[in-house]
Amino acid sequence: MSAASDPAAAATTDTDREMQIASRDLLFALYAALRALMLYPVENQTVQRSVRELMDGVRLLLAREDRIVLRYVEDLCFVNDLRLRIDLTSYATFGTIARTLKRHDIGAIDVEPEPSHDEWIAFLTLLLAEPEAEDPYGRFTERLQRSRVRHIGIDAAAESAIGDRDPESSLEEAKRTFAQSVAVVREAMTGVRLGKPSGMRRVKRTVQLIIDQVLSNEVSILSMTALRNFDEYTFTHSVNVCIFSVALGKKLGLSRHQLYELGLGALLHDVGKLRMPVEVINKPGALSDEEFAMIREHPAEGLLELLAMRGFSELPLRGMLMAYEHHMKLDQSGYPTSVRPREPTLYSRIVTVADGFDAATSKRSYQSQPWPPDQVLREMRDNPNRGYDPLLVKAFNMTTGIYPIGCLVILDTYELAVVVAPNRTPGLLHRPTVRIIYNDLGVPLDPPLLVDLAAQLPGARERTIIKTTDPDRYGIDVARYLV
Amino acid sequence: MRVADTVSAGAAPAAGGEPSAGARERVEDWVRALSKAVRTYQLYEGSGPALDRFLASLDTKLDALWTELPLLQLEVEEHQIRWSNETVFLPTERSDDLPFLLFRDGIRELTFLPGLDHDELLSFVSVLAGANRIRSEDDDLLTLLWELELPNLRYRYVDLLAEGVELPKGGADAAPVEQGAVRSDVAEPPRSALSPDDFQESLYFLDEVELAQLARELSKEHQRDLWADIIAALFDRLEDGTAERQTRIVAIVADLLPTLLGAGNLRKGAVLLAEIAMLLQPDSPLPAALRQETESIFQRLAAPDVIAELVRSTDVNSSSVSAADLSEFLAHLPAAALAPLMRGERDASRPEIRRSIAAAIERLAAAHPHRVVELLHEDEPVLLAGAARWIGRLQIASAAPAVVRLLDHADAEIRLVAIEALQSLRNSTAAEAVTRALEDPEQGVRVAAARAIAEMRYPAALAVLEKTVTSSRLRDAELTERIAFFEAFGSLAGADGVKLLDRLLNGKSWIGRREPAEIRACAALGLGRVRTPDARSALTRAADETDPVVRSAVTRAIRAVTT
Repeated sequence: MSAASDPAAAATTDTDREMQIASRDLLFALYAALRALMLYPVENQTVQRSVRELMDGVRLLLAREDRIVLRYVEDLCFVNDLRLRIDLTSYATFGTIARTLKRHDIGAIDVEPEPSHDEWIAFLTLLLAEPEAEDPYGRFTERLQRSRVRHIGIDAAAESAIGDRDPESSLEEAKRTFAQSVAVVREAMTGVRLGKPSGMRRVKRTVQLIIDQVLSNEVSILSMTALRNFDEYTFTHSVNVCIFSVALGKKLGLSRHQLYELGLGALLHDVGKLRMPVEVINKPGALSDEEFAMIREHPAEGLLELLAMRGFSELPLRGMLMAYEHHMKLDQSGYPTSVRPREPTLYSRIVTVADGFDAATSKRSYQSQPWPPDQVLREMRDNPNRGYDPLLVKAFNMTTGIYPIGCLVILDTYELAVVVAPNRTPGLLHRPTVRIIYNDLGVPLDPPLLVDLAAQLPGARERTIIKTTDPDRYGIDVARYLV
Repeated sequence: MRVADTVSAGAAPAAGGEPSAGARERVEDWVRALSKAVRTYQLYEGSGPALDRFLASLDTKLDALWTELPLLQLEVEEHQIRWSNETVFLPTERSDDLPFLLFRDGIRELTFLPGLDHDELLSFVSVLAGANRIRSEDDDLLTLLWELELPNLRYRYVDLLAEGVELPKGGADAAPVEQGAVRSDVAEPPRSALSPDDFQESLYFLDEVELAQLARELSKEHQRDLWADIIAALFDRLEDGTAERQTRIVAIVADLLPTLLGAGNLRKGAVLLAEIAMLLQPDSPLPAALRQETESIFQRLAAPDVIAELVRSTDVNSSSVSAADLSEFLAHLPAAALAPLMRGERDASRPEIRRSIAAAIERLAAAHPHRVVELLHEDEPVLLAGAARWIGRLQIASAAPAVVRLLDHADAEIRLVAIEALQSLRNSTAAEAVTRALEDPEQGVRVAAARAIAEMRYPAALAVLEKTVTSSRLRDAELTERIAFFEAFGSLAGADGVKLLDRLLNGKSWIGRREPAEIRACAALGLGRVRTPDARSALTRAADETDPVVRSAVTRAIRAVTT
């Protein structure tokens, strides 16, 4: 029975919606209070007002719940048992609070009725204080116990997580998902090439796995896209475009089912290339005009292939359009050309961005020298002739960061480092997390040194990126530092 | 093989203590009830009081379990389900093998969390019930459970996709970098160096206006007509494609039609047909052979079973298919659709659908009159009647002899329609045949023939009419027939008929008796058709008649004569 026809279900849905709004407002209020305290002294009116607003938000929720448990599990945020939907309007707020808690290894905040104004000030001040290098959670707990805070408790990150994974297992999961996905794409596409398309089951599972990973383990799965030599380009490219598209869709606030539709289309966006001669697809050098004309037909071939494929009969129409439209530019140029009126779907435009980024940053046939990822992003952003949707490029930039994962960078210390996680905090975009792999004397570090360029300890040597560079110049395989 | 946890949102269950002694029995009972609910769902196709009872029982039993268990975690083995290291379910027969159903698709553990509500349970049961019907190549329980996204159900599974997959490995060990290389790299003009301008937040963070724009785009995206995009793409490529691609597209287009019709998307089907029709214009980009193939799409659409299916589906889907959409679609059908459409018009129950079909028949009949006439050689009454009707409406005079032959048809309905058609044709062949029909064995046909003759004013029929109005047969006939014949006689005879009619209305026999009242009334009505002073005078003489039947007829007839 649908919620529309079942009053009880409808009531539940309404309650969930109200709870979503109230919880989200609470997060915004918490963020505002933290920010105010960061910028102004306690006596400042802005601080006083923001704490009062935070208390109002807490009171509102406590009127319907016995207590409030704000919990972060990987990238997911929960208030009590409700998972909050993160979208373009909220990700920065949620992310900042998550990072603030993570610095102290805090996984959850537990609020009982009802903390006073002073308790909140004390608690927020503690959160903003520099964490201790050793046992930050333990030290925070000690400070909290010494403070006057009585109605706000905390839980350690590990204790509160659902199926929490350490970085190693996250990476293992991501590697497995990536490898499986490439294998399934290879199998599906080979089947198509041989005229024996297999069913959708494995393709669907693959997309579902990728979505699960993007939702719960985004940094790790995104890092897989930087593995440039894992398998034949066409297969890894398809998986990368799927990962990037789903990550961008997540940023836009698409629901899980919408991500599924997007992911399916993205994974199969290049299926039309299977109709092209292999020697042209894999040609190492530049393409002749005739060969390029042939390549330009792959979107149309993709559409026809997907329409004709009985085995893929369940592919949604948007998926077919993603195959057809992913080389169309915003100004109607690009290919294929259109006689009848056409505006590429939003999903197609997402795939266009993901495809353009991955293709330009990859070493592949007819492009022996990949472009540096940061330059690709800037070109996509600044050059309207490229024809990308500027809003989507912006959102994509937020997903990858200014220095995408896998970038080889030179620090102002003359150390060489690989970017392993973007920083999405406003004002700190240029300070990702890196793995320093060579010291300033050119000696490899074993193990490499993991440094969050945005969270360098007081008194420690501060590092800044001064440029990106070409891994081939140093014979560096960045994959080594990502997997 | 990999055992993977689903990523599912929800509170982590509290650590459970030792279950009570009765807990095992209650778990057993609940799993058994789950199995029964699945079978009941299969049996009753997902609805019915029996299923409601089972589901309600599942809910109740689960609620009871939550009072003593923090969660319900079941291990799935090939042919049994275990809980807390004990077997709680063994299938008694093959159709009851819930464990195997789960095991087959890789599920090894199910965890139900408090909060699992009725709708979630129903969704879960429906997926299990449908599992046997899943086409193995398209879905399995894992894909379907993922799509369901049940927040209070978690499952652990063996991921068969992971078998034999080689995981990515790191690259070769790093070699030292020449000292100074990095410094000289820094000194070189950068391939890509970001300037301070590149870190402006406005470049990376969407402002309110942009967020609103994206929200609008998202909303628009989910309302857009994707079929229109697909169809436009197909025809764009058809027009500039190679012969090989054109052939594929034509085949795809032909396959698309049933898909669109199946989805009740007649409007898009009409767009598709309009595009195809454009392709068949004289400047068509298609080679001759492909043109023929393309034309055959229309012919296939006109097949009797296709039209029957179309009518059936539009008639049933009153909420999703409008008569306007149907009209738009039918407008593209070829002449071969005439007969099937006539059957469709008969079969449709919704008046607006019948009107749409009739409009399509009219268009086709007007454009292809010879095809209408050809239908007169069919055996089916619906086609004969339909053809005759349209021959009449379109006044296809040359078809009169063929229509006349219908007057010998055993079905009176056909003869009736034939008379209507002949009446419209108004030629001598038609009138002669209608005159013969005055003696048809069926009263309805005779009445129709009499009225038609009156309308056609065919003088040669006068003798037959005169003989009939004075015959004993008519005296025994029903009033309707009598009136029809008398009126027809009056119409045809004119002033010459007044004498006879006056006698029947006002005359007396030698013993002073008048004709029966109904005959006199009919005679009055006959005089009403003459419209001469004599006729009026005869009627006036009867104006004071005391018999109400006669008086009423006389009054009516005088009014007719006067006007």
